[in-house]
Amino acid sequence: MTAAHVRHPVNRAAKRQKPPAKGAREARSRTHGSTLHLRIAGITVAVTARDPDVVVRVDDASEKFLVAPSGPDAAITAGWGDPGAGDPGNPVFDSGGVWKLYRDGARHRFVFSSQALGPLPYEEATLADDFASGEATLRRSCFQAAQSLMPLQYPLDELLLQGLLARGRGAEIHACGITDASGRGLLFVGQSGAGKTTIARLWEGMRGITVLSDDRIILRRVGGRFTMYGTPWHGEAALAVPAAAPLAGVFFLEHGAANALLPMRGAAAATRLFASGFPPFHDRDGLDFTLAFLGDLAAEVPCHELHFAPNAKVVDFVQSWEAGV
Amino acid sequence: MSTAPGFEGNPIRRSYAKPEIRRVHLKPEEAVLGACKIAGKFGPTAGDCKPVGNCSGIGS
Repeated sequence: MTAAHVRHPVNRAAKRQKPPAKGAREARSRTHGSTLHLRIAGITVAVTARDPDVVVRVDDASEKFLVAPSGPDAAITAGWGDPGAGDPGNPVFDSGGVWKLYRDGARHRFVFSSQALGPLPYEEATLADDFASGEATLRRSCFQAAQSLMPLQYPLDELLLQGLLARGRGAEIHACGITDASGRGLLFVGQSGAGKTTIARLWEGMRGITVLSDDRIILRRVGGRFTMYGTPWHGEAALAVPAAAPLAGVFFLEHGAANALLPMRGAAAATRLFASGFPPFHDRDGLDFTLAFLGDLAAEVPCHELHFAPNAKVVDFVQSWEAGV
Repeated sequence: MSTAPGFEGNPIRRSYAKPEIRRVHLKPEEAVLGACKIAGKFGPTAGDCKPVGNCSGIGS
């Protein structure tokens, strides 16, 4: 990995040269003091600075997901402090990356560290058992803008949503989500290098087409139907749209010399979804829910393995499948 | 072949398929949301990572 490839809190906090989109500015102007309301996949998170002189912020992609104040599903306060201080509690999970999870009584305690920032954690988040409330504490010396706080920077934002989703709400999948001209949702699932961004770029710009995300999609059951949602967590194409569509088909991406569709059903499809998901491996009940949710989805939504060559013919190929459904 | 209790029609006979184990590839460094994914190396703690630049591929 080269130095230029590391997304880092210091740089993300310093980045924000581009003014936010008009809708985002309006949403933020409707917030009270230093509170933000972020809505992803219909789940609203309120983030409030504990210090009234500090403004909470989100990154550029997340600004499109800011909404007017409303009853949140989770309320998080944030402020400067000494993350990781004291007894962290019982160790539960080590990501092998920037975060570790501890259990402190009935609360989850996520501690974030990066060797690039020194030996001390740069952030911690103590969250209620149901993820509906919590506190984030950041180390001021790790951030350039002292009056601007980004408590939900990656990966805390996704970990929080992961916890909320696993409590009966849905699941996040490593996938590109596309809404076709008739409003139906097509989900192209795959791990890194599978071709999600390639697929997104082939569809992007076509009449009536919306790419909800080229990397992360949230799936929920709404009114009895599986629905896919765009997220702020985009891939190389930087496509992130706060919209949703009923899920019409799932395609597991495979590179191929020609386009081909192989039907997948039952456990095989559910397993592929799980392997491309972001389940809470540290949470038995959450894993049970996620497995059942993905199993139900695989049983109800047509799933295929899509072997594709990286050219525009795959768009016609998938559209011809849609025409036959 | 047995039929379900109360079933009066002809049972639909399915061909037997021997159970088999299929392996599905999991990338744990991606699945746990803990790392930066570029060129097969993962995480800010990996090798020569430095706190500069902006990574669009982190955890992707």
